Amino acid sequence: MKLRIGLAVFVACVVLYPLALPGQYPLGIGIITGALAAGTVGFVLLLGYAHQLALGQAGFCMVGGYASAILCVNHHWDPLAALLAGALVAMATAWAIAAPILKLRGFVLAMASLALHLILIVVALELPFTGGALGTYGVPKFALFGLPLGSDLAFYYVVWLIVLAFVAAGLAIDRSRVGRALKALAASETAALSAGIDITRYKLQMFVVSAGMASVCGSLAVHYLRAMDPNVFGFAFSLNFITAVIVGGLMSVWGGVVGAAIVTGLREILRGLSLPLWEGVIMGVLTVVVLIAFRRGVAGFISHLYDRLASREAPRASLGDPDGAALSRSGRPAARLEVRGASRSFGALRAVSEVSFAVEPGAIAALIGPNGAGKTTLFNLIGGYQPLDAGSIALDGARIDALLPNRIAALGVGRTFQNLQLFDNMTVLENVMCGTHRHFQAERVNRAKTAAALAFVGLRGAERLHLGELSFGHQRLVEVARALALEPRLLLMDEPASGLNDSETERLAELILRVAALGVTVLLVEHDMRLVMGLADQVVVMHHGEKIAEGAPDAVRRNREVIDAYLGSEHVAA
Amino acid sequence: MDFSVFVQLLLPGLTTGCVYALVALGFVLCANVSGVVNFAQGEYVMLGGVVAAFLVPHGVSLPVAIALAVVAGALLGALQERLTLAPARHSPDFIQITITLGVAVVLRGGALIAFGKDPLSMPGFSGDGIFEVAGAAVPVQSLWVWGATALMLAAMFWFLRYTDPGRAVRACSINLQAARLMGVNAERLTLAVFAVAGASGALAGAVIAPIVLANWDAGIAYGLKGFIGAIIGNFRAPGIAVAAGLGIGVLESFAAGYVSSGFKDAIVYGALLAYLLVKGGVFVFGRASLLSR
Amino acid sequence: MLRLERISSGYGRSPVLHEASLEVRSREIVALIGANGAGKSTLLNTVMGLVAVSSGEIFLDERRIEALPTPEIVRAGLAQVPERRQLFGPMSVEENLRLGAYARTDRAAVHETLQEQFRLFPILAERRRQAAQTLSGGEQQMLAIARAMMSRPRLLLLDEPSLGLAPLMVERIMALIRSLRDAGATVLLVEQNARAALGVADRGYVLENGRIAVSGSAARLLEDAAVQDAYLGGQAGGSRAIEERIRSKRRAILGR
Repeated sequence: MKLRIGLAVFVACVVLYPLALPGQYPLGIGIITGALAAGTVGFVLLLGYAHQLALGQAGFCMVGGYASAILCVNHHWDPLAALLAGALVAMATAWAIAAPILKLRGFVLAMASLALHLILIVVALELPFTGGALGTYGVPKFALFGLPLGSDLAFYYVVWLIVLAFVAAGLAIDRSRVGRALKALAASETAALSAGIDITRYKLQMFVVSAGMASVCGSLAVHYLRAMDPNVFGFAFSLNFITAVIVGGLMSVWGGVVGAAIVTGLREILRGLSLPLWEGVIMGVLTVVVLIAFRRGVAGFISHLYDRLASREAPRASLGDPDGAALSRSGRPAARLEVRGASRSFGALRAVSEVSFAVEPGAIAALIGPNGAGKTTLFNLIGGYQPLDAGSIALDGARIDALLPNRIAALGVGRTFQNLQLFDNMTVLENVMCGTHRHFQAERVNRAKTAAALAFVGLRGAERLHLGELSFGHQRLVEVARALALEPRLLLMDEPASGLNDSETERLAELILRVAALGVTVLLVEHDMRLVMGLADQVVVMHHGEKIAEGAPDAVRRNREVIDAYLGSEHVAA
Repeated sequence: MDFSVFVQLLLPGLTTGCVYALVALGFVLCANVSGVVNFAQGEYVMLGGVVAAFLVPHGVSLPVAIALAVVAGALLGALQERLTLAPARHSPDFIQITITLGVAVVLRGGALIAFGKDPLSMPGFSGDGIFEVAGAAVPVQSLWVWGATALMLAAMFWFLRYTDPGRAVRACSINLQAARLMGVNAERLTLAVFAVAGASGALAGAVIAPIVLANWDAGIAYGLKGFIGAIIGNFRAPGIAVAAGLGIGVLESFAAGYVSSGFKDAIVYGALLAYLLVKGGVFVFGRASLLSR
Repeated sequence: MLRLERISSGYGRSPVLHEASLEVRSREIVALIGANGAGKSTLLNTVMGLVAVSSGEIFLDERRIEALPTPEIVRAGLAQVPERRQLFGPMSVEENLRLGAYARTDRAAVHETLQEQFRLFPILAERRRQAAQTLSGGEQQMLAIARAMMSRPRLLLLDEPSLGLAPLMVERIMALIRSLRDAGATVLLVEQNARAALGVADRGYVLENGRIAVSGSAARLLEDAAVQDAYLGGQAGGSRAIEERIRSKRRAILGR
């Protein structure tokens, strides 16, 4: 519903604008706003979804602008073909720069993109084929499939049609599996990895897509300006992108459109008031204020208002009891985990030292040990969050120790975290649906499996709730459901009882038992001995990085070495 | 290679390198104590130059003009921390960084309005003479730049090494929780560090203004080049950041002299890109960083 | 001297301590033991003001301190030797020590306190210019304790000093703690190594799942089976009941 209203308002504004403000000059403003919007929509995907700040977006506008100018003027290409060529070059450049750099911290990309932009400006100034400082002029009007657009009005509509197409693409991404993956990585990269999401790939995809859209922005602008020189897309233009997207609204592609309108509108107002120089200060202040006070920007604010006005008080969701039958034994058998001689050191500290054990398919195993024993490190080694120094870790005989966490997850290893890594920018349903990421199946199927997982853990009815509305114990269940949506063959649980009270702990124990009954191997790290001794088939005890005991719970708790490890050796009592 | 040409390029390179070194140091200090890359760092240099260059022809004596520039830098730095960073302390990193970008935009825009579009010139502190070194002509003002930079670096290193608040700043960047247990007030220290970074940036800008002309747009270049220095020091080691900043200045100067002045920026930024691409080529941060947050 | 009354606290969404009460009197060593995850470190961090209190009170003598900011609490006379030392690794031994005195207002006397620490720990005097991270485990622990002593605390909070140390070193550290007490200090010692802690303490408390389960004189606790229960579960009490119920569910669901 909100979407239809948004579209209707959009179309109405675009159509009515030239009627409301007739004349050459306002139409030109409309065209430039449209061109900018084409770029800012892409930038929302990069900054708002993938959380990558890029300072040199105008560099890609330059690529598009020069491609259109040079190819059309010097080589008589068709404008549409030149636009596409420019976009391709921009996207290829973006890929080449970002693929290695995204492996470093995010803000490095910001500076790298600025460096690239400034280099392009120098290249444009110095190299002859760009026309140097004077640039290239005489760019023909835009033509659609060979048909030149005679009037500005026609061009205006074409530009906004392209914007609409980009918005549609953005909305499609938002609703898709990719959009969910992006929101997940924005909320918690660790958890996204555990759900099998390849975070670097999606960041790269958004950078490339936004570069292409920026290039289109540049091409369209150049066909209006009929000329291109190095000054058109300077650093100030990159800043326009950033302020437009932030003020317009980071969270949705509509924000890009709204932001473009605001930035251009503001400039015109200031020009009208003979205060053109104030643009920078005002935009800067607006950016800072929006980021501190209302991060979702103007579009977000409008959306928020709509929600407030449109919502009726929803009845308090009553949560169904756990439904053991909701999930059935999957076709795939439970996995066998084998750790052999695993070692990991941090400098002089041997955190894990030659640890070996195996967990049989379908068994429940617990990893225990006093503080500093190395349990968490071992767990992270198994999950792929740390590399092994020596030894091997194998799942059903195939080694997994060199794989990244998302690849291990894709093999069917689910994980929950001690300190809860949930995506707090999503509803319960969306959180759990992220778990289905590794399966390339239809959304309908994803939704069904998610509902089943939620019913299984006892959260049927909680789908639309936001995480803040759930108790800590229930949030823990959401994490388990997310791991179950992955259809795991091995489930790694990191201190699942942490923070739970007695009755919640018992319910958790029952849940873990039912998960094992489904045919899932379970390995838990846990301190709560009631859970460990009650649930486990096999207990592995670590101390000072080594395995000191292994066996059935009762045998382990009577083991002299284990008791000494926990309580301290006899002879120390001075 | 003609030695006097070499010197003719080296010395001015060191001079601008001093500014980059100070910007790099400002980046490192602010990042260490607040966890945020302050994109406005370069703008403080710009402001120092523009304020001083504006005041002098208006009858303000040179020392007072410089003092006012420094005070402006300190005040704005403190305001930036208090008004824009402190309220956003719990926001995600990329939001905090974008806020500093917003501040940079405000400072640029403010300078444009207050001081105009045109570059401002400023007389050298002891005249506009030049002196000769190994056949190369170097402006006397360079000595002021080197002197001021050396003084500021010495003061900062002394502060960090030998005073209690300085040790506290280092402690905060090593282990914030433990520093709190010692009774360190991290919030107040952050405010102080930002004020100092602003002041030192402004002083650098005022000192170099007679040589390079102060202008509202100059901040980005300073910021980006200083950033290169900081990043080579991995944002951890102030010593490396300073050395790298000096190196960037020299590289830029040699690029302008031996290749072409038009391409000098491309070469410097190209060096940054190359460095980053090489670093990212290998999976540098490995999986350890994936655990944070 | 220090009194916690029904303190509940935790990190963000996850509650850790439930109505824990304990008391430390002047010139005694009180041991707080319990399994991992029981909340021992959280209790110390709560006292130091690093963790927010959701309910209950903390008194230092008669002054309520649970809402004070950490620097205030340090100035009031509490000092913590954190878990895993938390030294400022790249900084020198002397710099670490000086930082310990950061909150003190009597700057002139800091030098004297520094010399005192060097007398008590000659090895630190020897290594005063070395970076803290180059010291051995035992030396680091001594440095951490000396650093805390630099603020002239009335009550010293020690968080798992035995962590990562060889048994011989653990003995030495415990002996050191005892000598500190003999010299007039008051100590709250949090330890997972129950026997080492109870061997040196006057009284003890056992923390289990965020609650104080047992308390009494150290000698008595050493004999008490309830202590072993707190770590490995099983012998008696409410935790056994839960364990039994889980086992019977296991039989029902998994058939084993």
